[in-house]
Amino acid sequence: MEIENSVILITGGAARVGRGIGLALAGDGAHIAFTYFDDHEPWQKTQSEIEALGVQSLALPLDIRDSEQVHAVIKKVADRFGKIDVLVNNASGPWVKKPFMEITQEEWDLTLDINLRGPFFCAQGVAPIMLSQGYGLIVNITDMSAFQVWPGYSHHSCSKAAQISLTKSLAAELAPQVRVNAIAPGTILLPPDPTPEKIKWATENSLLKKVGSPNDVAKLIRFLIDCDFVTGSVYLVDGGRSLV
Amino acid sequence: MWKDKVIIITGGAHRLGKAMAFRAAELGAHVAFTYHASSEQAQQTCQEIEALGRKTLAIRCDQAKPDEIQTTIAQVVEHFGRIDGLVNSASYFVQTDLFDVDPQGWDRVMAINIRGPFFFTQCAAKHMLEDGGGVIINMIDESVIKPSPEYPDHSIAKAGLWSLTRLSALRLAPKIRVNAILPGAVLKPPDWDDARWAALKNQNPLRKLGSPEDVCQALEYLLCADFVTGQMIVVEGGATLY
Repeated sequence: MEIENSVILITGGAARVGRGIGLALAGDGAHIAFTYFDDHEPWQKTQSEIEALGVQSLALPLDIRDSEQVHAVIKKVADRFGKIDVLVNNASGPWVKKPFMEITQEEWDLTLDINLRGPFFCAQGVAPIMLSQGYGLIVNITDMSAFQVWPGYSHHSCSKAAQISLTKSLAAELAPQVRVNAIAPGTILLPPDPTPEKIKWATENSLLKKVGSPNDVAKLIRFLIDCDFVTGSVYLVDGGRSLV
Repeated sequence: MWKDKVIIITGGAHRLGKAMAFRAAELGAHVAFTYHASSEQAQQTCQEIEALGRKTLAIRCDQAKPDEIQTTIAQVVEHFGRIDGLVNSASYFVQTDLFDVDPQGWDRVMAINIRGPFFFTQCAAKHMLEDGGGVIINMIDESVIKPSPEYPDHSIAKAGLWSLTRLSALRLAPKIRVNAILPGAVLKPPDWDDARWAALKNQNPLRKLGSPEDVCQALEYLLCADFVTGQMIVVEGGATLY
């Protein structure tokens, strides 16, 4: 698949890692559609920065928990561009740390709805388009909690581990036309206003003694777009953290 | 990123090793490579790489002999003054059965497929650390995930090479990154007929055969992925999913 003039849909693409991925791939000539949750996110800034790179951009609000909205968004992208080459299931949330015994049913549902139900129905929405095109790539962005123990994130870890299972099932079911892979980034972006302790932790926790960048994830997506003999794989971009 | 850097590729005279030697040269690197029996092909590969405007050095090396590995690395350093990348691509395998493996056969498979890469890593890493760092890439195969009873000793050696990948990623960080590439059906073995090769298409979900280009894309990614170490890049059409 060629990156230039491809159409890439990124969920949660207005800020942070999703925004970094969108800008990097736009720099390679891809048109970028992205979703954002609400106006607290800098979607207009992201959209205009993507357009400044000479490609088209479409920003759409989406509550990913609502599968009707998911299908409406995908239809809008397909209507606007006439195709969808790549879906990046990047939206993730709500990142609430809580002991296992205190997690309520509502909190469990919210986490699993955003991190698992959302990507599931996004994939189900784009798959018919990709199958009729005869090609397509789905990239699920999971994280290191799928492999490591993160006390206080039992709900989050379950959702991210399940994304790997989803990746493999879809790789098998949507082959040979659609390829499905997962990426698990390590610390590639610190929270806003990180404390010195947090920076020290993130740096020392990585074998390579540094924090990564969204561009590290974009490099891998670029490889997955280029190399059409890859499906069902899970790639860690973690500076070697999983070995520590 | 690789302009005027120096990469050594073991088993680089032909097949996948040659394809990777070319890609490294296209990225701007000078390329040293080893060969064992293929001296004519080695000369040919040298000429083709030089035609790309890159320097090259072909070294005959029987990597079953650790002293030849040491000599090889010394020659590369003497010739180019540095080493920035090592690709452990040379391998040796014969089809056999668990009950037919004898100690001599076992020793030869282990000497080439795991002892060789170990000492290449040890020798090259010393120079890389002196030169500020480097990248090591080990070529493994599907038997690391799905052991192949037709190649018992080879499967075990490749599992060892994956272990070496993670171990050296840990030991050599942060200056040296170490990763593996796991190719599937990307190049027909010389002794296979076309029908046997084509039948492999049905053994992966993408229902197709790969090419050396797929492996070169993985190589290029790993050479430049400076936040990635201790990983395997699987390029097998999904064959190991089942």
